[in-house]
Amino acid sequence: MVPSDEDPRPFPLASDATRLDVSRRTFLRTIGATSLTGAAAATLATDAAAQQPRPQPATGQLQAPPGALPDSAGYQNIPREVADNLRKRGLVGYADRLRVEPGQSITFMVSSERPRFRADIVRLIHGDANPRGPGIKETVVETRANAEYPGKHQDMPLGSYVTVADHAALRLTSSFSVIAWIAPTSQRVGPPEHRVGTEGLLTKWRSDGAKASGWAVGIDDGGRLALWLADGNGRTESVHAEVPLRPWVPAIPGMNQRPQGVATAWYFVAVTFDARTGRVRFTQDPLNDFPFDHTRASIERETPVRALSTNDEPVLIAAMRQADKRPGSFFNGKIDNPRLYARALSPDEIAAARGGRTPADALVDWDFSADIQSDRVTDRSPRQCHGRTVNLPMRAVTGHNWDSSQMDYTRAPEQYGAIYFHDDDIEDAKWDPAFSFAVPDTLPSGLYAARLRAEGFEDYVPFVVRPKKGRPTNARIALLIPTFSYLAYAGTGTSAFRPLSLYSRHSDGSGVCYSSRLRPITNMRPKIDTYNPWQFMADTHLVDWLHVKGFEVDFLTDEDLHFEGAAVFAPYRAVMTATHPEYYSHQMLQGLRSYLGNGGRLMYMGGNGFYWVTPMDASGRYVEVRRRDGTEHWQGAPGEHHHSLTGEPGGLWRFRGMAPQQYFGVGFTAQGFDRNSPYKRGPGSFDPRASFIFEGVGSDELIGNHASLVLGFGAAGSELDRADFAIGTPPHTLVLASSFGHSDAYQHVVEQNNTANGANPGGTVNPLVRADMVYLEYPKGGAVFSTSSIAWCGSLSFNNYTNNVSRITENVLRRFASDAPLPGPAAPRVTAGQ
Amino acid sequence: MTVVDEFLRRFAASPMHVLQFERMLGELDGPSPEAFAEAVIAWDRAAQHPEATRIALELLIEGLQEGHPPRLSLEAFGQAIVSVPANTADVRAHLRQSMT
Repeated sequence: MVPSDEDPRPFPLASDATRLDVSRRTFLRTIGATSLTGAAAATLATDAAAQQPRPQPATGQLQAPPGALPDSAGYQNIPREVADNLRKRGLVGYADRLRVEPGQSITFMVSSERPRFRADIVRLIHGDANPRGPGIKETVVETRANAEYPGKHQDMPLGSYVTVADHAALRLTSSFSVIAWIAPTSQRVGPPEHRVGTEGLLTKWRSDGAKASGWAVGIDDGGRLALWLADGNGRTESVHAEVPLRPWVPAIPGMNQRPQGVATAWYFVAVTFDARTGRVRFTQDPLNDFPFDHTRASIERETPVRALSTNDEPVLIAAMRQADKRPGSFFNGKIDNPRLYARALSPDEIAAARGGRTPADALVDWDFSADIQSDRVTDRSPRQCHGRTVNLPMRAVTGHNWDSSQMDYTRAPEQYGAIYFHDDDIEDAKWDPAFSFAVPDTLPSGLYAARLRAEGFEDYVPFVVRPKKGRPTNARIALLIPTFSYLAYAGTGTSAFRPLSLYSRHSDGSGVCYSSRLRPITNMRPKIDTYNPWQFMADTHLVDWLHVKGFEVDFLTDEDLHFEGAAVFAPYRAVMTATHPEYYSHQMLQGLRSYLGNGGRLMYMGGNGFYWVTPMDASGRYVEVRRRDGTEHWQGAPGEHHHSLTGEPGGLWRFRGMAPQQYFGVGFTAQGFDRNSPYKRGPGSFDPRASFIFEGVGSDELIGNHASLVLGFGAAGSELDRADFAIGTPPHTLVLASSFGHSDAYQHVVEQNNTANGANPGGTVNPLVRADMVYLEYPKGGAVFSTSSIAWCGSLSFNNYTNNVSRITENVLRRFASDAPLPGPAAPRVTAGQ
Repeated sequence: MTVVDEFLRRFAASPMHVLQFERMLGELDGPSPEAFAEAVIAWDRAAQHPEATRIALELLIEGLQEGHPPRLSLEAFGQAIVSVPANTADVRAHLRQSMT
């Protein structure tokens, strides 16, 4: 069913059953008339935890910062939320790669709440089930992988840490000391189920039921420094400091989360154990020199322990081995230069270490400022107890001694000796493989998925089959699937684009800067029930259109462009982007530029593209983004805007001198969220150079003035780009058409406003809130056509693919893919005497 | 980090949804945005289906945008969310049924 041109309603519309004849105010009064607390409590009879009285802080425990944060919001238990939602899904998976080529194999990892599940490889054409569009289109590919498999539940091993292999020197049996700089960021407010428990700092611990061995320095569930010792009989003794460490304040209470820096409260901490006396000394000294800081404290405790039992466990930094033998008790916060001594340091030695005069006989001396661009952790001691980071804790972060003189860690690595750990970091879920699919040599390039089904549950694990390298192809068109952007938006748990994506905040409120593909990405799926398809599912609107129109297309991914450069496009006359290719590495931008400069033709089919600087690790597992000065969901901390992977400055490409306007004619100008708008043709559309684009389109015809599968109506919407000659749009660029009539739900982007009071940001007053459709030619026959709207492809299927959005797209693609030369700008006229 | 932040984080399927949810919270004529957000998060934790809350909120927004919001009490809204069975294929249809 397709609405008519005259249908002004957004779609998907609620069914008649819910379209009740009441006013909005009636609804608001209705829900406001009910006691919320009573309603919630009555509805949540099954949520026992929610009904428990909220605990009051213990005596001596620091209160939450002023501003009355809601109790439930102090710490967001991301690991629990992810685990709960994955379990509710019943069936979920991921693949060991996002793209594969014929002749290779792809392996799928699956967690199933059912004892068996079925897998089928399908080719995905249209993944949006919206009844106003063409619906789900998929074709089962007959393969030997299509079969039933045993299912089992698999956990998400969230949490980052450092692991150091067992070493004889680390098997302490007697006195020892641990010193380090730490900046804890867990907030210990809110009900128990949302609060952080014990956190490990430096641990070599094993606890198997009644018997324990080793030692562990950490923070207890009261926020206090603590020491766990296992005596020679395997009994555990634990002692803790008296004064909790100061809770971190991640944002101004009551302030929206987005515009925010991150301040860290550094402490010098020392924990000494004297086996001769059994005494333990805790020292915590804030880095700040402010008077009256009652968290500056040193206290001595007594234990009956005189000897320690040992084990062959690895030393864990920022975690502690659990009874189930897995790392847990993850630490949230920064650790800088942890050191271990095989004796109890004296108070004078501890004071000296606080001042930078560290005793020279450290057993191990981990220097996190070394090897920042890797997962290596270096021990400066002769024992060389080097380690590895696990699950991508954040590196290239300011250390306790950062003095603001350098913003670039490569210029002052000694001031970047910290690692920032989070209990929801993840690189590789490391699930057991469920099955593999050997891609037949004859399988056409395209978008595919492993379709998983179990009783009552279904999931899809998408992947791209690219053409086989080195094999000639008949396709003249390549579709570039924006896998970097998929990773940036990659949420895990539901179809929300958070948590665990680059739009997320960690449990402690700091921004997530790494995103890995080796985990279930549950919003990179077809069949998401929403009126605003985003990224993967929205891109299937274009895949479907290409299929319906009969174009022969090869599918490539961002990884292909990143690792192979322009060479990957060599066989193709035209390349198309998808709807929102926002995240780009330097290699990718250079690859596109090179392709265009050598006669390639690009159709930029979306909006807000080529925006964030985004490197990928050498193995292709994850991307990194350091956000600053853009339209963004979090702001990086001062001094932490350089990428740990490459050392290059992060942020927007436009502030690196590579604005997308320079290459593609347009760049991000506005975003909004209500009804989209149509385009109106401009003078540029009547230039003879552009006549092929508008064949069959009336001169006064509005473009995309019809229903859309994205936000209901109109081809220009969601996120919009605009030509800007001041920023770099080439002077010969033709602005073909511009959208109009955007509401104030559309706002001019912040990076184009230098002052708040002169911005006039809304669509009703700001002429810069619009999408510009543009066309520009490159040397050697190259060209770019940009739609400048994320919503464009949502309009392609309207009226059985017969509409002017579809027509314009087809006009451009057929010409771009042909060998026929493009008209090109007229030669400049030079008049004598002028 | 506020409870409204958590609400936006949990249920927005795109940046556009974030903006829509913010507007919706600002239009509530009874409970404060914080109170509404906290209640919805609690319902979501209790829900059997991981998508039920997000889709219920989309239905709410659709109704508001069309000027035809569903008439239901807050209790009914929460009950609709938690009553969606875990293995429901068409969550939207189930919610439409229970939100009328």
